[in-house]
Amino acid sequence: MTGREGLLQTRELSIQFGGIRAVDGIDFSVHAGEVVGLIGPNGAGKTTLLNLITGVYKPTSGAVFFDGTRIDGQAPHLIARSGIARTFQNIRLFQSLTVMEHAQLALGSASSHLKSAFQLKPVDYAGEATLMGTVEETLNRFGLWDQRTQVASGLSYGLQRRLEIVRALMLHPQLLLLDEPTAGMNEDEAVEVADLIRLLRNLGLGILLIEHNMPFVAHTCDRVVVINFGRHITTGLPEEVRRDPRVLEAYLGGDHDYS
Amino acid sequence: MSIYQVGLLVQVCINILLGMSVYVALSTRQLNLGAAGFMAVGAYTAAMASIAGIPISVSLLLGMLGAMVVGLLIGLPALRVSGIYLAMATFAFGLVMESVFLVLPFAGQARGLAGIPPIEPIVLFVWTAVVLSGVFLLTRTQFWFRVRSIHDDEFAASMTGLNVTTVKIAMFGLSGALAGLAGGMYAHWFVYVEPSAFSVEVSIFAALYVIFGGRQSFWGPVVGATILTLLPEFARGLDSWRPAFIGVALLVILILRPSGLIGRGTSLLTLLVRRVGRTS
Repeated sequence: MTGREGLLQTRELSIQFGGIRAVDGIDFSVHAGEVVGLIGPNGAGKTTLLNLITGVYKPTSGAVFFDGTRIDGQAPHLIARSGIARTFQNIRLFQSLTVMEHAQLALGSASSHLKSAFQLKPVDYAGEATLMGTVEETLNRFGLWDQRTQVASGLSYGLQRRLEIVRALMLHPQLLLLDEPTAGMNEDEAVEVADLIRLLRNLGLGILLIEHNMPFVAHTCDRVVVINFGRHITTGLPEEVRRDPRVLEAYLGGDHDYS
Repeated sequence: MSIYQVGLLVQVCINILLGMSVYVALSTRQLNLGAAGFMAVGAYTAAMASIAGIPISVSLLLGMLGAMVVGLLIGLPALRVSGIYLAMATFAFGLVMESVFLVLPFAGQARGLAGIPPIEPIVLFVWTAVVLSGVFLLTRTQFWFRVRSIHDDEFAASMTGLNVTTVKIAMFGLSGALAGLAGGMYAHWFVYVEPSAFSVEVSIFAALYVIFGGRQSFWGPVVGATILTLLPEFARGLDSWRPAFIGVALLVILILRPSGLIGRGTSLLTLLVRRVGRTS
């Protein structure tokens, strides 16, 4: 590989379900301190790609490199511990756990905390270090500190989406994968999430995000990767990609006269 | 206390342990309908050990360990199935164990095993108290959050770095150990075991204790097993209507409180306080 190797690098990544190549020979990279948008029509293979990176699926062929190490084929929990955290398209919080319990659970998964798992003395996690200061500061930054004793199922939709990001951050990730982080949010909420994403990028995280909201993508992403039918279409700056006829074709269908 | 009362209390202890066996597995969304199978392993292991001259408490421990090992072995393939299929697989395991002890030549076959040294009731109560305290403390650790996260969303739990497989197998091992202890106690209390004592009915009741008492709290199986063990005694006057009466009582609870008598987060204390507050 060349010196341009990213924090995350996929090489000829493919997976086949039955006769369908859901992801077909995709090469792309995410660098530290960079926000990469992954876009494409429904069914293009975006979430499948995230599932390949996080070890949920094993690729049929090709490879995934993270921080110089090949990770495809590793167990999902080991990939998560090695520094890849994610959120989900459909919110997947632990419905019966409180905000604080979500935070300490993910913190506890970092191996250094395994010893304390069977400790009875309540551990005060509020002061534990995270990527954004302490747990308390992180929860504050995400507007969740006041809700810290509430169970996840009782939170508003927007707060649930944020809690997903907080839970991911507690793993001390180097790479954050966000699957439609603003789905179902209003514009103000989306802007706040965009601010948080840029803040995280400035902390040196590599971020890969799937989004349908194009203004949001243009606003937050440094680079955009477009896929369709499992294939890589193009990569470029948000404004370039938006004008690319191949991208328009992917979204609107072929045989259109754009002149 | 009369012999009758002590006997009832012993039965309550055994049933609480059986309920707890189902509860710990269910905490990771694994329905164990084979508690009687693990109970049989514990009972026969402990009985044969004691007959061979090993002290009772060591025998109980051996029975527990034996059933735990079987639990871990069952837990491994059980990872490949879930939901109703897992429940059926464990149910089948229970059936298999009943027949296994019917044919094993050294286990007395249909004649059963007699001459098991009797256990002092107090020893049995202490064992129950110690083991239940251990489980209670476990539910107060950070580890239990992980168990609950698996219960709520196994996939998301693995994505937060949790080794879901290990935790699920471990909980099946614990489930086996608890039922195994119940079996060892049973063997030493009745000083005689036979395969029919570990019928599927025992497994079904173990699950009912949890469903009746509450599956989201440590106190659920404790309260469920206690009530369902004592209720038939209080309903003696009903004579042959007893099973029907208990069935109706179960249905009423399940309709009025689908998650069981005791919900999540309700401690026994707050429940009592609320009751006292209401009556005063």
